[in-house]
Amino acid sequence: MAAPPIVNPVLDNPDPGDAYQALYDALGSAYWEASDISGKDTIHGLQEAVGALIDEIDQQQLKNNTDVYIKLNAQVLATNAALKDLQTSINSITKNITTAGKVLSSITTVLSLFP
Amino acid sequence: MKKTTIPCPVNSHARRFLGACAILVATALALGTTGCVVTLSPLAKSTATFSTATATVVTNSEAAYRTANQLHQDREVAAAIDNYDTPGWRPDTATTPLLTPDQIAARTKVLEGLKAYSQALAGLTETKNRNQAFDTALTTAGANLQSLNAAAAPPLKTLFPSLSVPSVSAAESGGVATAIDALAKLLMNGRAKQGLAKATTDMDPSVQALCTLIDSDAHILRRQADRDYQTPITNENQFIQNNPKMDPALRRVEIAKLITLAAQQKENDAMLASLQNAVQALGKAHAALTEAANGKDPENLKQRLNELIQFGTDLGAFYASTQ
Repeated sequence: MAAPPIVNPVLDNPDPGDAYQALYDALGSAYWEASDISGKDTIHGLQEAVGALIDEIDQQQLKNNTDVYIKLNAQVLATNAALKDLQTSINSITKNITTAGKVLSSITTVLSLFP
Repeated sequence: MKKTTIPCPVNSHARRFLGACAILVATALALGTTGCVVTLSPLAKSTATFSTATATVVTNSEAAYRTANQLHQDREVAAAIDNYDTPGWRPDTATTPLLTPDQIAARTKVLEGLKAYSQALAGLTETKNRNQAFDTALTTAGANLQSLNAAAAPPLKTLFPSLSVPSVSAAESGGVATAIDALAKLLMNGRAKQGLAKATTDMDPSVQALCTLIDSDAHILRRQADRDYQTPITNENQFIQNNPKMDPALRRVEIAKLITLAAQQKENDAMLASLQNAVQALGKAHAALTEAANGKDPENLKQRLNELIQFGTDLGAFYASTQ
């Protein structure tokens, strides 16, 4: 049976971090274009404040992603266990042939006892 | 030394029964193999390629997390040094990791699980070692079949006097062994092929979700890396700008730092972009492998695997250059 789809709201909605990132980049450009140190200081302060928001958003998204990783891990482990069982089952065909050989050998022995 | 004969009231019945069973089983095996062919060769090659490329993506994803965490830690340490005079400053709480050890472990577990999964698929479709093990087992069985010949054929002729009961000659015994070989390989390959189709179909939603997650993580890591480089670059520039009377030689060194950091930022961002490309290609390649395992569109698989190899190689080259 196929695994149920993994739902992660963060992945299905627009990323607020991208909007703040665009602002952060715009402030970065403004910083380098500012001609005096006072203007640079002001823009730098603003950029750091926006950066702190990005950090918060990213921390939260990484945390949300972690929860989905944990859910996924169970599914991956289950599939790997099923594959191991299948491999064992296939390998048992070789073992069955070995067993069949032993059975044939035993039959020969029994027949030799009853000429 | 005279051979001892054990008297037995059901002697002839036992011989007839056992001998007949042996020949009939062998004949059934021989008949059962006609007209059926299960080949794994093209899928085996594709699955092995997928497994190798997946291992590259997994290894480099793990490296990306470690690199991103270290980069973030460097920024945190720099900020902590700047904040040293702030009331309540403590060295044990002065920095916050981008990803905690638990968060890294959650990712590593799934990534290693994905690697193990792709290796299990490759093992399932790998036939060379399996066939060798099987051939060794069959050689023993074949020898036993020949030794059965002398004992089993006479009672069969007694049991079926009107029929032309085949006595199992060495050549025929070899033929039966070949039939067993074909049948068993048919069974093994058939099970492997069915198993591959089922496992990839079951696993595909998880693989797609995982690829989307890694892609999402890489997107966040790129954003954080931008912060991790922009902050020290801007701080460095603030330092230069606020110290106009700095020694000219030192000033040159400090300005060179800006250029070096900007170059490192560009390279790091390209690595993470490459990881995103590789992960997206991995998801598409797995979907194509699932289709091919279910007997659909093998050409699409070839194309997707080529893309995965290309992106995986680019990614590997990026990380190798940073080691």
